[in-house]
Amino acid sequence: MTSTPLIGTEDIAEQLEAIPWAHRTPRLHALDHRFAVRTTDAGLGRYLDLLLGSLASSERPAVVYSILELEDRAEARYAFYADGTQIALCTTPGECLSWLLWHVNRAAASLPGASVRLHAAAAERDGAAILIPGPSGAGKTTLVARLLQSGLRYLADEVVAVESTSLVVLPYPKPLSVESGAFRSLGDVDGVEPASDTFRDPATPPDSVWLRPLAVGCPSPAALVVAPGYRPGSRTEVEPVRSADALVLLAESSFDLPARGESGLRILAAMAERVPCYRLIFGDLDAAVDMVIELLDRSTRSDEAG
Amino acid sequence: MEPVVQRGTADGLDGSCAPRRRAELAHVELDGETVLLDDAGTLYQLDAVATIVWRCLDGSATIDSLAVDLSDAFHEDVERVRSDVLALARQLRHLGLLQAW
Repeated sequence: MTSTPLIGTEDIAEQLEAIPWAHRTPRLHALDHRFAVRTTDAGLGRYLDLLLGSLASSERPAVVYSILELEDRAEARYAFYADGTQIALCTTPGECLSWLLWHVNRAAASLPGASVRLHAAAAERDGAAILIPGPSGAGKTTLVARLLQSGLRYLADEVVAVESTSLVVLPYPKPLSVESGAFRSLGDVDGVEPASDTFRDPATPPDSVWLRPLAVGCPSPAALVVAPGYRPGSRTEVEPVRSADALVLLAESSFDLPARGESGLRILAAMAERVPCYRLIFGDLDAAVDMVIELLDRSTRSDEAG
Repeated sequence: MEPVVQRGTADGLDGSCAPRRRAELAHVELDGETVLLDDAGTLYQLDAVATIVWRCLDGSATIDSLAVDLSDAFHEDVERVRSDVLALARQLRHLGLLQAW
């Protein structure tokens, strides 16, 4: 524990370097964002290793996050820093964890790089990637978690990176967060593992769960785009999407299209032309997964037939 | 898009105008349709008919002359085509997709 000398003072980065940290994670990466985390809370540190293990990197971090326990604050018990900049004061370690993952996700989505970034989930089977774009609440995370249970390998949730020329989907296997209603619908969890809820953020729904992916996929060409729409009680319906509509769908899911301009639009247009795209409305998760796998089978058979 | 039967309006757009599309807009054609992206990141999707008109809006032809050419090409009534092209041009101008004049 430490007192709070760091807020509003200069040379914060130097003071952070002098702290005897209880735990430092290995080097980690989220796409082009290289980072590491240190904390004075040893239990939280071990939990970070468990949760972020699939993000291991060999490259030197560009950002070091610090989670510092405080002893003399009436309300906040933790301070969260990105290098020398204080990001948040938190009451629980779970809240710090949420801030950490938010900051990492934001960097992964916005750092300039050779790949376009989409608000989507993704999974892979035998070197063929499925992209699942859509707004929050569409069912992306629940659908991808269920696909992992069905034997597919995990590529990403929230931020999907697609290489500009090859249209290869790159892995960013961050932990998944699902609400328990969705978690219960996942049944026995094989492809994912629930991490402890000891460090749950009290600001999130009380029954949200972190899932740790067990099988991470390799970079794979996009073979299928499925835009889900969860509607309780609805039948499972799938509708092919024309290329121009698919381009708009992908563009609306893009984090960095305005910055990329025409080059970004052309990359997404290439994907819309080459990769089959469908809208999927579902009320039953098992039926939705069966449909997605059937569409993937069709897509890969079509590729093999040339 | 509903045809607008008007000649000479308060917005200054009529058949004698030669609209020019904004060259700096990012654009892609797919399956005969056009998707446009402006600096603010707003997307616009033109259907097949609007795409044909969009291609012609390079500032070299008036709306009246475009209407004659298109009515010949598609064997449609020239007045109806003129109304449709004028309505489309007004819509594009309202959306900020044409150069100001």
